[in-house]
Amino acid sequence: MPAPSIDASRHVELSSAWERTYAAGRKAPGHPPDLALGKATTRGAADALAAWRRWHAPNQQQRFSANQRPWFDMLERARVETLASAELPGMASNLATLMTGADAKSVSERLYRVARQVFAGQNPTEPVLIPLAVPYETAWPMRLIRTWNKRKHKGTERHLDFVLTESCLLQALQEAARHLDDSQAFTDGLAELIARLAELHRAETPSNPASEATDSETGGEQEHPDSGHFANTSLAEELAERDDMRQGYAVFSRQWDEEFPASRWATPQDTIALRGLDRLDRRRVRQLAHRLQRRLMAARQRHWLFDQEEGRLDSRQLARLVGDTPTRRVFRIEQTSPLPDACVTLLVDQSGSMSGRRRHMAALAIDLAVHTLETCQIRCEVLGFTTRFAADNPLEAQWRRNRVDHFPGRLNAIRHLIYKSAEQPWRRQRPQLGYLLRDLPGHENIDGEAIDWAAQRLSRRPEPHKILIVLSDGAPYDKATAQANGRDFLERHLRHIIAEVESSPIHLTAIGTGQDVARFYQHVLTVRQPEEVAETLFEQLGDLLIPGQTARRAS
Amino acid sequence: MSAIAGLIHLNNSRLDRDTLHRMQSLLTPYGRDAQHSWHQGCTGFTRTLLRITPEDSLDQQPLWHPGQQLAMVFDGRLDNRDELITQLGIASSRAAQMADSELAFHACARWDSEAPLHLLGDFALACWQPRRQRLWMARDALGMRPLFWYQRDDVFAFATMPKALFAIPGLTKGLCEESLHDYLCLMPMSGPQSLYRDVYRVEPGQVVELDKGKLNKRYYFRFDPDRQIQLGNDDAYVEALKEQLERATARRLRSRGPIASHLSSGLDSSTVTAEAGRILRERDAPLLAYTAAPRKGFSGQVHRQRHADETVGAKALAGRFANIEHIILHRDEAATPLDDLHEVIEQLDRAPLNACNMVWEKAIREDAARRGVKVLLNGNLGNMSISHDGMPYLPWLIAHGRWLTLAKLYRQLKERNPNLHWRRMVRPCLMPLVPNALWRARERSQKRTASLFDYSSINPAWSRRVNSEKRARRLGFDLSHQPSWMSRQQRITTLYRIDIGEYNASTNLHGMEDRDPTADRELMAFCLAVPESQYLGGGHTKWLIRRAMQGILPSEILDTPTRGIQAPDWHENIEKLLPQMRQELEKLKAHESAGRYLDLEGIEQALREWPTEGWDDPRVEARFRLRLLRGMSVGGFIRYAEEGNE
Repeated sequence: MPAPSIDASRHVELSSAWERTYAAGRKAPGHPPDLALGKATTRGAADALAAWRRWHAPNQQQRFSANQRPWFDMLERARVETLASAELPGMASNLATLMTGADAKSVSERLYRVARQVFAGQNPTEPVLIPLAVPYETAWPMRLIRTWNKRKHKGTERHLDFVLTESCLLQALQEAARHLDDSQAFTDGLAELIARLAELHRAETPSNPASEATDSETGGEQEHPDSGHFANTSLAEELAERDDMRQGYAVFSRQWDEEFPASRWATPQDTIALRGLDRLDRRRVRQLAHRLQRRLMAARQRHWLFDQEEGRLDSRQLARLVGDTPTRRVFRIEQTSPLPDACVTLLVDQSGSMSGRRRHMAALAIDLAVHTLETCQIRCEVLGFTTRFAADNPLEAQWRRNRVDHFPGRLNAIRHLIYKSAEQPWRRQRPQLGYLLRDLPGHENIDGEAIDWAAQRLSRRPEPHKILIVLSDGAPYDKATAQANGRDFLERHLRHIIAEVESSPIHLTAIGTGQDVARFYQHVLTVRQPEEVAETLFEQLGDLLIPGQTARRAS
Repeated sequence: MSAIAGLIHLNNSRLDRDTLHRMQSLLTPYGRDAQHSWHQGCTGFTRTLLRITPEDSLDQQPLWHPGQQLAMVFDGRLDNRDELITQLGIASSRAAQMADSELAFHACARWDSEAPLHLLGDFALACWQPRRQRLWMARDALGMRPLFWYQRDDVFAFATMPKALFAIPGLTKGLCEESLHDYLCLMPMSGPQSLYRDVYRVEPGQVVELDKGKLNKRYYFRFDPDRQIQLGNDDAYVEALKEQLERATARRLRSRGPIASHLSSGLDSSTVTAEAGRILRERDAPLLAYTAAPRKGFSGQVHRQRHADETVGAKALAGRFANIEHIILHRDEAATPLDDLHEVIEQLDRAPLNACNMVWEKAIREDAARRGVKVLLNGNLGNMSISHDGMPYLPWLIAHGRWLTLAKLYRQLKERNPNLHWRRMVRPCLMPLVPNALWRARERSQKRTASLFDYSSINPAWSRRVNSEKRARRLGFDLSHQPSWMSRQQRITTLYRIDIGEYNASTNLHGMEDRDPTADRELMAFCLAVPESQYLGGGHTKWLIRRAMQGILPSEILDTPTRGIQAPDWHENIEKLLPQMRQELEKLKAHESAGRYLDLEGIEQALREWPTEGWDDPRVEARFRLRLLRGMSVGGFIRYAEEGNE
């Protein structure tokens, strides 16, 4: 057997990554019938795997016997792929490719195709039960024999109850199509059909290693020696690798998450609002900015290079000009070592509670701080975070419809904004700052993920000195997430992330407009009035960028 | 004064020093002069210090004695240092080098958990004996310093303020519904439950002991409602009170900076100011006296039994003492009661009960802080001790068939107040004795506030669900506020109605300490034991203190027929604040749980029907000053305790 090519393994990796991302922390065991991770060589197959992991309800599988289960899996696969197609048009297109191709040879393949069509609200283009439906519907001798058989085996066997027509099958599928979101109702509606199919097609029962893998996990039948093992170990490894798992965190769905430059949302009205920032009394903040600039410039290490052939005349070396071996090396040059090679990230909470003056003062402080840092040639990023949804949260609605998990994890979509990346000049990015001034009532703050995101961006920076300053006003909170998982869920994650970042080379500091922030961070400065934000920020920046000076001042 | 905290891992894992550090950070504003921690194995203590007394500069907490295997943190002030030094047999030269905390440490080492009984003053402390795996905590008899604790399987923690406990991973801020209910209904705080879920308080006069993971609680001190003292004659009571007052006040003048006093021209603060002024005069030391006044030019109406301008009596008193610098702070015309509500809630970790008083209290504290004041005296608990009015004596006489004494008292009152009609005596004499239903009916017929919903913005549906009436009865509290003839029991209940520890701790944020001589344990015990006949006599209510302060307090204070009113102009700026209050109301409506606890419709209606006059009507005052503003205050607290992004 030839060794798999690098491209193939790369494909498996990508497929696996996509599966993890789309599944958002779900742990559906096994894989859909006819597909395994190693076999996912097309986009459609990779999407099918991801859809299975995201939407498959393993608890329903256990209701069926070994010969029924493959039929259920086929219908379940059709269901999960229909759900995925409804969510993401790109996935719909990829999954549609699984329907095309050569004509299906087996009943189970035809069942899958017809189910996909029925679940998508289309008319089926082929029958499922051709071999059986025709004689049963049309040939009366067959019907007679069946009736006789039924009487003969009455009370001892039930298999004659499993007579099936194409119309019955379609009716059952159409009924099930109404419960795609509810795996329980979906399975209830199809249980009889599955039983009939299993009985009618004993010889043609499709095989599905996934079922066996599931059994092994649930303590049922012995697992399949090859693919079952593969599915189990790869899944365990993947889950172990997951960041969320490591952090004891879960996300219901990442598909709605956003991470874009603030320009995506900033409108001309925001730019107008930004002019209001200029009308604020900026004198004090300017003073503070100038003071910081002076501190930073003064921190530049100056030293002289002597014995130079040009530069400023070094009077102490003039004698060399008249000596036995005159030399021109009587000059000196003043050299300035660069400022601390640092990158500063300012991460601002933009949730609903950060409103009014708090936002204005934070924006003003950021504006002048970034300007000052740029002047001093210190790289700086400005990021914001909130959630995409406020009260009308579709994720919550979706979870409530499905109720697959008792603890669904984060139930809102995050919105991460990039006001300025480290490479962008502030003069170009500043107009977007207007979006920071916009009140977003009801929008929530999921601080843990935001800090993780900002820290990851910062860790990729080449500068050795990394500083992350979070401007926030309280504990992480998302109403839907808190209601579903408890208030502690987001706080626990935030504490975990803070501990991780604090143990990394990144220096993490929080500036809180309330004491609550001090519950979470080791290094925190609490401001009572919004006006104090600027003062604290500039002071803190100076202390962090010139630590030696701080130590001297403290001593 | 200090703020203290401690963390013990019950599973013997190593101490989470990061958490202890965060707890310390949260308490640093309450003790800004020094912060220190101690840790050993699974245990860590931290203390943040605000230096108030000269001995505080010797403070070396947290204290740990390896020989005795005892660690301790102490927050407070000892008022019986000399007595303790003698009892403990410490040489005076050595004692002079000891902070109060060190003395308390020696007391704990000697008497173990019986030590609090030997300590006089305002304090909260915690002792840890690692060998015995035993921790015990205690608060002073009147709970002047706060102390909260939290326990779960693997962790036990305590802290001066609840906010420090929320630094512990796994403990999330959340409301305790029962406590919130009682707070909204003004019921007495009962049991250890705080306003936060899973956070408990050490009750005043209580020792809480954690021994090998098992928790025990006991009261080491409770005031005895049956105790009564008998002295030879009326003057003996007066002399005894004078002696107690002098001692209680002198104990509270130990300071390393200027001393100030509230002077509202009421009997309590005036007595405290006069007594402090007199003692400090003998030491050639000055006293600052603060009087809050309405804005300049205020001429609004107040209830006929009240007076708005308290400066008259205050000026007269200050004029008698050359060493008193009298400072009158007129209300800033722009200030409103809700200006800094959220900041105050954050400082207190609870809702301020009377938002109107925040304005002038803050003004006084800020001015005092600017002057470097270290001690701010008040007479907050005077109503329960020195200036008890003695009115329950009247129904007591009827209940005991002492008709002649009652007639004599009536005659004396009539002599002093010729306009007094006998019908006006019916209410104080009989109403404490009639059945509660009759009392309520009468109050309703008189259009007085008799229902819980007249003065509380509690959501009626929630109140019904909790069954407020039944709960109040169980706690021995009457929601209709029918006066009681069992004076001592009622005063003791009132003493513990509100835990004032957090209020006192919040004063530390201004760099000073609140001290109340009228809350001295010995003085309080004395006043509770004095017979009722000493409080009502000679045609006077509050007869005992009037006699004691005769010749010291001016007649403008002693003989004034009306009572001063705090913040009489409270309503003036609220009109400007209405849009902001409506905005706040919208946030409360959007909040997850505020609507469950508060009658938001009632608050909205009150905002719609904001009156332009009638501020002297008690019903208007009850509806808008008590019900509405308290509702907004509690609403702010609910949003603080259960944060959201409304």
